[in-house]
Amino acid sequence: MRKTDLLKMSIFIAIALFLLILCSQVAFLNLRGFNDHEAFYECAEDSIDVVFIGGSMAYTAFCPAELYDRYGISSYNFGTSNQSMLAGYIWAQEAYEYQKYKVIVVEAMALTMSHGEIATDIRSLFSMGINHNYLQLAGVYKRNSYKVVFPIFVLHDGWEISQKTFAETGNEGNQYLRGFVPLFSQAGENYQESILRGDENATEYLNFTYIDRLREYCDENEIKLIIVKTLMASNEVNNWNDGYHNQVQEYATQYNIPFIDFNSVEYMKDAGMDISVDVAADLRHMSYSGSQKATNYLGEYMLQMEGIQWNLYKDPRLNHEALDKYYAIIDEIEKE
Amino acid sequence: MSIVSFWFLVFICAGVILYYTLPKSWQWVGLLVMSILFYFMAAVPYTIVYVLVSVFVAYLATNFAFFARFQSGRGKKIVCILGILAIVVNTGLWFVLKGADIWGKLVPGFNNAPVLPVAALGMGYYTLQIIGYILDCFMGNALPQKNPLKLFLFVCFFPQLITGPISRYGQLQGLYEGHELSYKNIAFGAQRILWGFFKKLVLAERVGIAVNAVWDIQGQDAVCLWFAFLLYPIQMYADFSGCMDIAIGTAECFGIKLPENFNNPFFSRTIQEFWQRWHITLGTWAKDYVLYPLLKTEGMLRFSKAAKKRFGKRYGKFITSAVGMLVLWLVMGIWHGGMKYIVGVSMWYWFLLMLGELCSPGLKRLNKILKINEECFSWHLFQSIRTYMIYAVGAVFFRAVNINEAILFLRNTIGAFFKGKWNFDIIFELETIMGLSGRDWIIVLLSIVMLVLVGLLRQNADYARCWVEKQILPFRWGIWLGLFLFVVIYGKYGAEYNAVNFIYQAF
Repeated sequence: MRKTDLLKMSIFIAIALFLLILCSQVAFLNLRGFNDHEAFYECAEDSIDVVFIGGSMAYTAFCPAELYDRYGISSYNFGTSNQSMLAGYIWAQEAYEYQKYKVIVVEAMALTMSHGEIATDIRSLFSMGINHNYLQLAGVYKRNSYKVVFPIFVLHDGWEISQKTFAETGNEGNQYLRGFVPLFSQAGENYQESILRGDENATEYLNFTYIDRLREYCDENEIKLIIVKTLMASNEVNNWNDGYHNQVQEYATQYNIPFIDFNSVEYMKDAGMDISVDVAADLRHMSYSGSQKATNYLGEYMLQMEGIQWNLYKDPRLNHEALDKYYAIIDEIEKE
Repeated sequence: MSIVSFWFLVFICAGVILYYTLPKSWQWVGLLVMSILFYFMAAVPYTIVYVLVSVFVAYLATNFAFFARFQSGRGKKIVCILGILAIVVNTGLWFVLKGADIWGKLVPGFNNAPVLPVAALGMGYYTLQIIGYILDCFMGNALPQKNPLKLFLFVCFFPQLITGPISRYGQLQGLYEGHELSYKNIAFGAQRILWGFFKKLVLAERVGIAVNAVWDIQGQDAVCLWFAFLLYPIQMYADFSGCMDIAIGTAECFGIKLPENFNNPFFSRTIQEFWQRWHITLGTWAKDYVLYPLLKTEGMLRFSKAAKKRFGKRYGKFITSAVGMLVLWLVMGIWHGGMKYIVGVSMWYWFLLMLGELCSPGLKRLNKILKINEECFSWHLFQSIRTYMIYAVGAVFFRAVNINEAILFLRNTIGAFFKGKWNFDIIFELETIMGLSGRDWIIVLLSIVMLVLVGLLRQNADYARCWVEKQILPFRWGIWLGLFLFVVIYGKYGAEYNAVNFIYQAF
């Protein structure tokens, strides 16, 4: 083969690779508005004290703007649809490079997925771009590591996905919402009892690999870890139940981690929750009313924690004007 | 490992580097190692024993026969016995493992198809290939291979393992020759692979969703049924020829030329022409090793003579041809490995071929009376559509689980046509019923147009890629990069969708 042919071939392959990268970026852009956390990078440096990780149950339950408004605690909610514990752990590391936060709240449903489908994990993390934290996925999905490097191979069907997801509505103006997505539907009168009935529902064993790593990471960086399970009204397959609750409780007790399960009657009463109004109509996520109660409960709980030096009401991006805009967005979403 | 996967491409790249860094006299060893590795990654590993048995038997038989023919006085008889034995062992092994649907129904004591051990990868293809090799050696068309490893490579050369093509021993001598790294081979090979990926991932997989949806619900609406009926041949073609493009392209990267298996079959004017353009290597194999030897047997010659005497020259010739073709088509049907293929492939196409041959002179006279210009485009188009429809009927038997299901589908489809169950509003609901969005249908249409254009280029400029090669660099790079992106973006694959196996992989 002549040298010119070799050069030609190399240039062609280089262009093809460049196009793959370009397509991957376009595919990422296509996801904007869907699990979008680019607003996080606009927050003032070291202004955030609390981060939330977890799936859709996290982003519908914890409301950073109202936590700040009522308790002065600045936070960001990294919840994404079907977020696995792996994706949450990677977000925790990414967030700490920008914000030396003091508390991390894990929504316990993420524990039911040690790591998800590669597509779900890539979608959960796309906002951080292809950086060293994101590339940890390549180490996990070894055989599919090329998909992590060239996400177009996973997101190529993005053009088929309808962008009008319920998450998108909430993520508009995310610099005020900070990852929170309000749901205004309610479970209704048929659901008034706790899904935890003291019975040992048959359930799969949880995989604690990544919460273990997160716990170690928190220990190294003196971050307090809290596990929270949001309120639900359905304990069918793939939902929360006594089996999961007991496993997490055991783990939390072993490592002295606070575990707040709003499905247990004790916490439900303390937080003043009522399933019929505080759970959304899908019976899985918390309603806006429920999210306010969960946020309030956590605000009070966290302020009582020892050994944390809070920077209360010191976030320059959550001033009065920003909070007004936040409430305006909430009103708008409610009207829709 | 699927041949439509990223890791197959990595495997080829690594293989090409290994192949061209080896000394020429060792290159075939590189191919052998790659083929064995591929077998272990793509098939159930222990099934390689079947391939080894086939090769071992063929090797011993051909070499002993060669020895016997020249060294011993009783050579002819031994040669015959060894030849028959080798063919019986190979055919028997294949028939037991792959023909269970047939013998399960015919042999008393078995209730339909019994559960058997997994067959070897591409068993139907390599069995025909090795039988061809044995016959070539025994008929004196080829010298037996002295090196059993080289013979093993001929049988299990990895690009052709999945769905062929069924190569002759003489056609694959390139396997044992050394090759220089050539830009043209690599470029043409890669282009052919890309085209194969396009056919499989963009077209066949997408059309497959719609076809499967209709078959799964077995709805009674004429529009849906006819959609599925007319689209399935396209799915089959894109699937099978796509796999063939990948196989031929892969071999080309190593400087080896595999025989073509398709030549624009849907441009055919008659069903006879169609079978000369579709699965060419199977057709020519059956002709060369079944039909022609059969017609030359003493029994057939006597039969032909008697038929000509009884029915006259024309019809006597026709009857002899019909009997020969019946055997040929039965072999083809049995090779597919199921009773439904004997009905859908053997009987249906044999019947139509014979009908065509019988009516051909009369139809020609009729055309002359009606003053139909047989060379005009519209007549050609009509004939191609007619051939397509005939093929589509037989193709139903490939898609159906059994004969009853195929007949039910055909009855529903034709019945819906005559009963006037035409609900054209359903076209606006195709997304919900057939699982493809409006954009998907546009891609299907665009892909079919691309297939037709490439087919026309092949007809008029040898191969489309030869035509592209003559264009200026930005244009040709634009075409290949565009096709590459088209496959990456619009291919049906990925984390949430797994491409299904090739239809012809089952044989």
